[in-house]
Amino acid sequence: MSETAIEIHDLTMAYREKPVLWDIDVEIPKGSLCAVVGPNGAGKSTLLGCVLGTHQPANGWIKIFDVPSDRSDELIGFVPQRESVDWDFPVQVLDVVMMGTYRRLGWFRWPGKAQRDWAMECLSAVGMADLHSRQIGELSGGQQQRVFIARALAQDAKIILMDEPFAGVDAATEETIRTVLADLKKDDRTVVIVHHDLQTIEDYFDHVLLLNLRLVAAGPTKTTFTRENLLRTYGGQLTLLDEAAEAVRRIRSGRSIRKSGDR
Amino acid sequence: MIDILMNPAMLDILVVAILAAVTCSIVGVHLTLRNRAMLGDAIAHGVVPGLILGFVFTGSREVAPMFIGAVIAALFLSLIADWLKERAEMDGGAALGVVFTTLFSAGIILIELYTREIDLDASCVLHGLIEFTHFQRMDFFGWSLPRSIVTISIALLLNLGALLLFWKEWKVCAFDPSLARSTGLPVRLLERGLLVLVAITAVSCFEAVGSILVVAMIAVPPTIAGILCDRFGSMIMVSALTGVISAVAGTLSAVYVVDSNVPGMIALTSGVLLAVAVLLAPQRGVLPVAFRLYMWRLRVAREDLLAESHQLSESDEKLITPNLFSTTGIAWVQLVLIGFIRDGKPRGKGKRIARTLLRKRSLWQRFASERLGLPSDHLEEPAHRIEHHLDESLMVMLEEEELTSKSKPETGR
Repeated sequence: MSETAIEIHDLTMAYREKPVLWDIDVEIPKGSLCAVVGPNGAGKSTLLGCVLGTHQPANGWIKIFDVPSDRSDELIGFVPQRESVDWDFPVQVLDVVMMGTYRRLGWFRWPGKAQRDWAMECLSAVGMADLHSRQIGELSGGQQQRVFIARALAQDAKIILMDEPFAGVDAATEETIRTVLADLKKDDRTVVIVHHDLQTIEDYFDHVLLLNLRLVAAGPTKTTFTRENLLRTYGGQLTLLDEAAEAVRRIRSGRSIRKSGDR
Repeated sequence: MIDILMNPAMLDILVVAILAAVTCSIVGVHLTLRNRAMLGDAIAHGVVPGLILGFVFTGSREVAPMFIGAVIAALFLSLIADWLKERAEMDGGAALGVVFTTLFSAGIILIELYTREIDLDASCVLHGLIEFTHFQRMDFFGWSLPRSIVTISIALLLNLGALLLFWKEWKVCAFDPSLARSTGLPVRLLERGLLVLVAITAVSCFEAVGSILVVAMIAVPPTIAGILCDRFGSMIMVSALTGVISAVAGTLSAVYVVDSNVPGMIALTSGVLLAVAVLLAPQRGVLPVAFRLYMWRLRVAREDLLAESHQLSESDEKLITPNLFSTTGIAWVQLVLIGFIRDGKPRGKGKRIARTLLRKRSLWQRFASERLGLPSDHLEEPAHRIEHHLDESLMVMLEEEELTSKSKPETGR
């Protein structure tokens, strides 16, 4: 199998006394498009935070391309949940993407033409170049997601984490985001996405990570996204069970919205 | 005007007011963008006990010990407030409010206890001694300068320097702390540094202009700039500019018009400017938005009138003059005045507009019934509303749609 992008070993994370993640062991292979799935409060966003380095785990370690994450030079791109961004902030689209270049620029240096050009290139890669001087609040949901993806590209991130990019977007937007994701995969980037819609997992992702405080299962969607695993992930949560049951039904009938692989 | 500039005492007041306004409004932008403008308020009040203790411990009125005491008090305040927020799970604003009022009261009591014999008193904490700027002088490398001008200038230089050095870092910290942290920026340190800067700003402006003005200048000009600007750099410029305008207008009106407290008038002026910005800002102001909306409604009314009169004229009828005291009435008057309607019938360009609108209406109706499959009684109303929003490119699309559906019938079913 191909090399490992993210390796998580015995990771435990707690907010005060309340454990949020319990000894997670998982490897995410390079170039995979991986969904993180689980009920509310399962620790999905926290897991992303640990990989990103914004959360300090209580125990365990994370390796990025075989280097411990605190010593890794690898930049990890992050596309935040839409509600967590201040869309009234006085920045234009290009400014946001330029922020991806700040780290390599280092302290006390101002971004110049090289950074501008690079940022524009990254914006073009997600098809947003002509909107570069818009204030970010004026964009539609899908465009906002793409700006942050462009910023991850500007960071030259081999690993990109996204927190629910598909939440509350319309069908057309979902399609554009999917196209961008396909491009990222073509570039051999590793993309990890917190995802809620169980119906679309099989169509969108080749890897899946089922989480409910503990790791329930992880691996290729075909073998991991099974009835048993879903029930173990969502067991006890009655409202979500319906949705899980629907997904299970579809797995059993061997159908999915669009048969994967027949493009 | 000339006599103001000629009067040295007056000139000093003006200079101090301008310097203080610029200094405060620059750090104010940072705080506002973090939704923490009230931190300026808290720090401006919370540093008082630090100032007094600095004075008490050294027994001198030198600037340095009071400064250090104030900065320590500011850091203490923010640490306690953060601690309350995180550990005692208090609301951020409430935590800040509790801490700074406690510290401020402690400061007032300290003043009363220890400084009875000297000229530090509680009311000058509120509105400062800007009127006496000219007479409190200090020696600065052999020059005799008003003390406030020296201290505020130093604070301004520090602010500008830090702003330029940490421009992009502070921007990222404010906009997206998780990006900042994930790229290894020392976010906590940067934020604390900003706090120190706010403390230095507050303390240096304190003696001259008092806490009222510090609070106003930290909160109001950046808010105005936030309404007017959509980039970080322009926001800082506009904020500083608004600060200067309120400083000048406030000082002059306080001295020459109402003969009143200078910092109070400056703060009041900035408040008035804020009201003007809220009402009149070209993009987001209340009135321009309402105006644009009304213009749009007038346009819709005009187009509807033209279309209606066109339809009527085809059956040789006339449009009846509508009630003139309504939007439709005003639209009617406009049309008659520019000659698009005469004798209740569309003329010239009016006719063309009417025809275009009717074409849009029928195109949309057909699209809605054939493509969207809406029942016929659902077509009239939405078509009426949407016809005004269809521009040329959309019409071309609709027409092409029409053609393709005609060329191969029965595909949509």
